[in-house]
Amino acid sequence: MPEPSATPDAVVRRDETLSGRVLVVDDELINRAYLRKLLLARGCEVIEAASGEEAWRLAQERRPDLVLADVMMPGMNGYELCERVKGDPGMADISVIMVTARAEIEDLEQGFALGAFDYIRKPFNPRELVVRVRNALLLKRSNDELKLWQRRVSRELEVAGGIQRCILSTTPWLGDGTEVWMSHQPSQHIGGDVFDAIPLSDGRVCVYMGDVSGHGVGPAMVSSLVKALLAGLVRDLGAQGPGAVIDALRKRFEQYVQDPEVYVTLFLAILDPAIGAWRTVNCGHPCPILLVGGEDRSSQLSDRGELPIGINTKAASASDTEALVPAIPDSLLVLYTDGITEARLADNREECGVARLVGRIRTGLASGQLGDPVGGLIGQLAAEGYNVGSDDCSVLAVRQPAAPPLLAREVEPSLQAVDILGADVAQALRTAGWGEFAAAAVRLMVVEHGVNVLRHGQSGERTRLHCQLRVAGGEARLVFHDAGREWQFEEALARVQRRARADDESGRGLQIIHTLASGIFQYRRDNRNVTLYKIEEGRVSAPPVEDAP
Amino acid sequence: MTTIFSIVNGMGLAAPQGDLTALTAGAFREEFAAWFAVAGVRNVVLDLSLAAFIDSTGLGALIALLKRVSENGGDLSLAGLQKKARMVLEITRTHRIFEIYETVGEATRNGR
Repeated sequence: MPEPSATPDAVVRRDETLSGRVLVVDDELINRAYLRKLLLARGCEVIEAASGEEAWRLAQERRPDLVLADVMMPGMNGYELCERVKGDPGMADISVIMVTARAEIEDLEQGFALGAFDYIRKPFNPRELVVRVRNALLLKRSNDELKLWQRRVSRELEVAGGIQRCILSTTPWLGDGTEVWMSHQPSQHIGGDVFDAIPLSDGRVCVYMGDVSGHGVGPAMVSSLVKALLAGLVRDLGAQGPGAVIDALRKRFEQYVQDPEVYVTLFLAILDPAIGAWRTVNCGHPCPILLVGGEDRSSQLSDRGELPIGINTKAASASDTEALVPAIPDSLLVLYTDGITEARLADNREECGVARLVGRIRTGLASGQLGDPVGGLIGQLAAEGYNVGSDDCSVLAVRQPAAPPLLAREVEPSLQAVDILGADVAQALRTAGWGEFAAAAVRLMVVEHGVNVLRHGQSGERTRLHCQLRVAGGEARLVFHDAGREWQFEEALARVQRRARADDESGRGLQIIHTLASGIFQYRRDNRNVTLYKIEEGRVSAPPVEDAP
Repeated sequence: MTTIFSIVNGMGLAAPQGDLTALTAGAFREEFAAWFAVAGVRNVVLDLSLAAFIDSTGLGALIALLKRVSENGGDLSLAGLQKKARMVLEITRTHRIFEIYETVGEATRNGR
């Protein structure tokens, strides 16, 4: 196989040292022996295989960095071996060099087409072989390092994404007069969108939606900064209105971020119950969508606006561009980022657009007045083929229900108060036209939930229980919140069920709720436990059907 | 809420005069225990016709009574159970551990 004059050098020059594991495949012992001696002398670890089949097995077991494969072998030949190695996801990164006596261009083409990294013609010059092997091994090593780095970065991105998901909570805020639902999907592991709903005193609520230029780690850090800044500013200045908050945010933002390419578009609104309207400021963000009674009234919203945060502005104050959005009953105000409207179909690149977004939201609204109006939106667009994953997508919907809750009350932490609450909830449902039995079932849920919070949420003033009851058609929604110890419904239920015995005298409250509710959702928000139960009248209007024994 | 206790055909008859809930169950259990200790009966019928609403704590009290009466070698039966009150027993599948009669009359027919 080697040129007649060539013998493995006894003296190896420094720049000819190699490192890596090489699998030498040749059906002729003498050729293998020669290559082994040559490569060993230069520092390689050498494995030998006398056939394609043996090589395939060894490749799987030993994971070489490089396969040096003779083309012409009985059984599995070099091409077939190369194709197998390159076709296996776990081994595709192994370099393959074909050793061939056939030097037709078609042969070379075939080898490269199958994923071979290089070829060596027989008879070969040993120094040429060493150079080619070194190239292959160096590339393999740098690929390995890159892969390691990628894995590390992607792990760190995942950690960062997890942290961001905590910071960028989509936990709804279900006030007695207004409710806010949020949904978010970052483009990579983390994104540059930022949004929140912040309840303030006197029935005020602040909502905002922002989008930091670019996406990835940098913008994600900026979005966290904006969220942290706004949390404080909204609490301190919210009573003065959105203009004051924006002015202060600009000043702070410019202190912390000097990069002119980093800016934030932001829509911020504060509900002022005294005037029954949202006071809003728009800093270069897409105009929100307003649906009243399901009809699109977005065109009635002001298109006045400010420059994005982070872009120097000489405007005196954002208060000058403040606009009012009336808080109309049975309305939905939807803030979003352009990741949704600019998502495109994979096949014809058609953009989602605002009109289509409005259409999807209206469809979602028709499915119920008590649930999350935007919860399934991003997923639905993805299912329709829009590439919502290519940019951060966020949506925040403010619902102004058509009517106040059937009942909204905060009660003292006492059995007496819980008992009365349960009876009053049943009475309210009866008044709303629910049957006696269904009303009693909901009363039972109220009492069981209340007693559970009293017994396990630590006693004292902290466990004052807030209860809100809404009804739409044959569906009721109970929302409880309390400031007691954090608990998880499913966990608590599982704990009770694990040690349940037929003659237990307690521990059946959660089981009762679990049976009666058609949906149970739990959130932790503002250091409070929020529990949402959905009840279908049809499901609880008769005693449960007896199972066959 | 009070409970009226009597003896019919040699059987104890306890009739709580209202709902059996977290609010009333504790007192009901205590009253029952005090009466049962001196009543000298083995079998007991609970007349629940005035307990329109029973929650899981009320149910817990019924189970406690069942154990108390059983330990003494007797049977506890429920009578006059209303539809809404029966709900909690069925949801929790505890109706199987009680002897349930439509009326007090049926429950006490055979006596002792």
